[in-house]
Amino acid sequence: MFRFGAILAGGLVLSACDGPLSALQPEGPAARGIGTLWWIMLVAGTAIFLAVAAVLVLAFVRPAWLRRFGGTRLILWGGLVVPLVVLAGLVTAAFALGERVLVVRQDEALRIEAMARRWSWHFRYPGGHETVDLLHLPAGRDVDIVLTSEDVIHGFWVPRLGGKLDAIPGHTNIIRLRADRPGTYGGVCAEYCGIGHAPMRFSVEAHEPEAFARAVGLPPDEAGGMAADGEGGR
Amino acid sequence: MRPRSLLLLGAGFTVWAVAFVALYAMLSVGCRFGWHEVALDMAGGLSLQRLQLIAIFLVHLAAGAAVVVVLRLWKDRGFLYPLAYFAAIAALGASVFSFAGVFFLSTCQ
Amino acid sequence: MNRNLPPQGEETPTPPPADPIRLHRELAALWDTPAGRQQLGAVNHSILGKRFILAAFFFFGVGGLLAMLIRVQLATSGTAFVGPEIYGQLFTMHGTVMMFLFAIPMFEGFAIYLLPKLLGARDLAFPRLTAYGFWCYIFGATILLFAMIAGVAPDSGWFMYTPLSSATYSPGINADVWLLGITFVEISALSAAVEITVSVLKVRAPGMSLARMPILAWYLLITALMMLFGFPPLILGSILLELERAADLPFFDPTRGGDSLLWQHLFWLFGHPEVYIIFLPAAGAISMMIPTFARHELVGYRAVIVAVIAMAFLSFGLWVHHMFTVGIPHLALAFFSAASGLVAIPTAVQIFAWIATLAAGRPRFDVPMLYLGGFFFIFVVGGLTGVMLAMVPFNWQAHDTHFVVAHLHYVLVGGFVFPMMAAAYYWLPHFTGRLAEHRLSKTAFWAIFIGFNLTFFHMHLTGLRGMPRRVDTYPVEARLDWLNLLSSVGSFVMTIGFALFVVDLVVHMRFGRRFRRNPWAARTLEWAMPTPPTSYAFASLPHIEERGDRLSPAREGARLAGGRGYLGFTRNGWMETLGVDMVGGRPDQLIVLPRQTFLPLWSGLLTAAMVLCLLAKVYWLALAAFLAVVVSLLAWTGATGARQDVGALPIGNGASARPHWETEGPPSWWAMVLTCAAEATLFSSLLFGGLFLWLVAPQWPPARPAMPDPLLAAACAVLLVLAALSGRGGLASLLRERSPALGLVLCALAHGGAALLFALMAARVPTPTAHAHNATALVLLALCGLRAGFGAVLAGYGLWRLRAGFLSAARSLDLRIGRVWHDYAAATGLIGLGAAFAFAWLATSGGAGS
Repeated sequence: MFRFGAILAGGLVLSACDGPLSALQPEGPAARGIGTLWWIMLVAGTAIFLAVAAVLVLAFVRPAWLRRFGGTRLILWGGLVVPLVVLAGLVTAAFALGERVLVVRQDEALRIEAMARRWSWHFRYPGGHETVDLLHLPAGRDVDIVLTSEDVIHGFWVPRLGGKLDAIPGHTNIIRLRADRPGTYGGVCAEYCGIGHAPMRFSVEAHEPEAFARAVGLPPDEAGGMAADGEGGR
Repeated sequence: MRPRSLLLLGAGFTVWAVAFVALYAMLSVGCRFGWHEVALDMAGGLSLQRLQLIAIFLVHLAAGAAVVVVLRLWKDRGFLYPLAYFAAIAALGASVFSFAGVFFLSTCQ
Repeated sequence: MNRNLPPQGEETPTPPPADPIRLHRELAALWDTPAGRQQLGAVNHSILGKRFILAAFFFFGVGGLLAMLIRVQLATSGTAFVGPEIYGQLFTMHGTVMMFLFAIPMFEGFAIYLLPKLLGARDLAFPRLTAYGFWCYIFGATILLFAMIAGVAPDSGWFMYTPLSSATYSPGINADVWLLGITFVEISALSAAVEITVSVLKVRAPGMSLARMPILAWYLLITALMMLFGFPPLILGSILLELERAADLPFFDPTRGGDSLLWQHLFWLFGHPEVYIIFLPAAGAISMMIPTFARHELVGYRAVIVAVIAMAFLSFGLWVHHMFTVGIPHLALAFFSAASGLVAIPTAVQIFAWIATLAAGRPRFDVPMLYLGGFFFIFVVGGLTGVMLAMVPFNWQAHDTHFVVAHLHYVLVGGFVFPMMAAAYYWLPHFTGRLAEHRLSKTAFWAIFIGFNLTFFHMHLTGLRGMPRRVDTYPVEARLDWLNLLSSVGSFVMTIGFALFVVDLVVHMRFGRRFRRNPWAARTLEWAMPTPPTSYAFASLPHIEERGDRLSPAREGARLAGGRGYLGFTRNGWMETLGVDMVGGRPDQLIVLPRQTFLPLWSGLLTAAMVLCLLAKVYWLALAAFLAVVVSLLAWTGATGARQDVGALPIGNGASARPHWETEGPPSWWAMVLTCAAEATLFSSLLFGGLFLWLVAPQWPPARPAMPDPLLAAACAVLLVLAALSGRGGLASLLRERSPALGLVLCALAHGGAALLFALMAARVPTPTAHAHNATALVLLALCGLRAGFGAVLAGYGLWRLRAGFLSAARSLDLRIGRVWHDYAAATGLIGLGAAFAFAWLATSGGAGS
């Protein structure tokens, strides 16, 4: 148990959490919300782990304490009441976050099509411009990525911006992402798709609005107009 | 005691399982036919989708509660009956916990 | 084989308590498996249990070796140890071997060896089925092993997602090896499920009511029932995918109305209960060991049973948590998310019951307890990360990353490997009759425990820092090198630990001190026998008057060895044990078990031949092999039953019972009921598949819906009902001491006619390769036809038994087993016909869109 803590502390000291693909270094609201949930769960999980370990150790060193508390009561509180309360809180928080992160409502978000094919990602922007393995995003704005696959199942994942969603042949899935500020973020294929799975990576470049318009071959004002009428997709 | 009393051990959770299948199936059917876009005025603007899911949930909750009530009457009959009774209570709790989302979560998104 | 029956009317008197040595000689002459070639005909549970365990441990080594190769490849970002093709085979086979060839067979072996001894029986209900299951496991595993050596092992991941595993993207034989080989191995899982369920429910010592059953028997009963309902969806999925690959029936092809998500549902409908199927027997073993070392009976015995029941059910409501990222509505995800979190509660109940037991007693520390300590720490971590993964938003980040890899190893190694190693140290004296030396046990433990955490603890972080699972390389910029290198080093430390464990076991078997009986002062029945156990386990069967964990094995053991329990004698050359009333534990039948025989080996070999023919795509030969398998299985029954009524026979202690074939609910009747339940699960999965595709799949509606001809369908329905009624009529005649021949002939003809009509309707399904709807209709009708065909075989078998003189009003078992099937085949056949029309109607009224 001490070793767990030591490794964990050591990891933190080395500022182990950052990296171009790290979900723990969020750059968008979805990833940040999930990151917060993770840190809460980590702290709560560690506390629960220590508590269970402490009770187990007590059973050996101070069994009289536990005996006085009573076996049935121990099972009732440790096995039922406490976990139920913790779980109820956790599930409620996760549902609330899920409504915010998972649910894509019809609104003004920009739509970009992402088509996966063994073993590359093809992005298509509102004006018809296409890029391969490079996704341009406008920073500070919701973007709906419309995922499809031409062959097998792939997984679209930009860890620093949000969770992942599968690109499944015959289905269309939409994931909403937002990059808070301009920058370059890594993306990977998360679902095993054959021998080219590991190198099937892409990068995401988030730009200021004008730079984004330039990058996807749109006049700056048109890019702004799309945001207003919400007609992004083709 | 008859072999049948063994089946009572699973009575409560069978109701839970049936509720699970019914809710998951009808949720998919409702989304397929766009019931989430049918708002019902008489039900205070609830969608048809949510209304039918709540109905399924409540029916199964009632069934689960009925199982608990019946088993409570029998719980002094011997070894298996109290087990069945406690399992049914656990199942009723599990139903509330697993399916309470029908009241407030997005149904088809 | 004919039985030496006593002359009618003359009762065998209960012999006086025999001299223990003579009794041992008489029993051993019957129950022992002769050395040499005869060993291949072993049906004894002790022998087969050990064989299962040894084979499973061998495959643990194979899987471990594959894991080492994976860790070598991942040690640094630039390792070019194997290419991606080989790497795909490595991780696929690692998962497949560990799940299907290690964990499940290990549990089966453990249960097979221990169960009769715990329950106070001389063997399991179906010894030959145990042997057949063993051969299916060994032959199936051999096929996979040879495929790996030949370099054509499966390579699409152990959950074989379509379309990656379909013919288009996996054209080679690799995926066929998985689908056919694993289905072959699953025959042994299903047969074990039937065997364990029936044995726990029927084959116990007199007086052992359900209330007095040792806790492990409860765990094994519930696990076996879970297997019965958990494996059929995967078997169906494998059959459908193999049909798609071999016959181009597009169940999972999104361009022709199929859907890859159907595979995921079928796979995980099996795959999640599977995790608990692996964990629960281990938890049962823990519930046996902790009371022994705490020197106090299990606290919360009844709470634990309720928790296990809850877990069994809940575990069937979580499968979609493996599919949180496939694009399912939030509310649906929420059901599965909440249920996944909820399953932590019965787990916590068990953990606190164990802690309360330790606190209530005077714990004694020994090597098994050390391993159980390892279990506590590792499994609780795995459980906590499991609850985290159950939360949908977090799952969106962690899914398919090394976080999941770390989690699942914490759960499976913590929840299965550590408890089973504790169990190995606990029960090894029982296997060998020697006490452990424990020279290396502690060193081995610390190497494994430290190595394990060094491999997997920070792997959670590796995943969150963006390393997906199943990658053979990772970018150097992601700075994952040091994390991975640490894991690789840890895995080698762990391997050293396992090597020490093996050496320790060998030292134990070679040099351990011998002991008399019950070295741990346990209070359960398996220690009430000499160790290593004799082939017949108990020289006479006990009468249980207390709960199964409150017995005195030493006193009981001496009494039983002296033949003072039930059946402390031999007669007619029969291998006898007792069957009891399911709930109350009153002896209600004398079960006569089959002798050593090569038939299971032959059936296993023929099944292997069928699988190999399917792999080689020589389908006519596969069909011939299939028929040969059916014939060989029917040949097993030649040795059962009797040609004259026997009536009640003395079973010792002044009691008497009828032989099982003259009783109401013998094991084989229950086995048929359970088989129908498993088949019904498979059939329901198919119906679910048909509805699912209509609801969700792209490219609907089909161009040419498969509407069966109403006239044929009506005729078929009439024949099905006629088959069931005439089957019942035949039985009724027999019971009224009239000939059942007419009923049986009618039944066989009606079944045969129904099968032909089903075949005709199936053949008339238009363009089955053009659309998943048509393919589903074809399989639906073919499956109903197969059931009717088997009904005809059973009715014919009844006629043969009648002619051979095995049937009378008292000996009606064969027809009663048949009746269960005839009724079942008719009912599901009618449902199948209705479903065929319903599917066609749904298809014409539109699908999910094109």
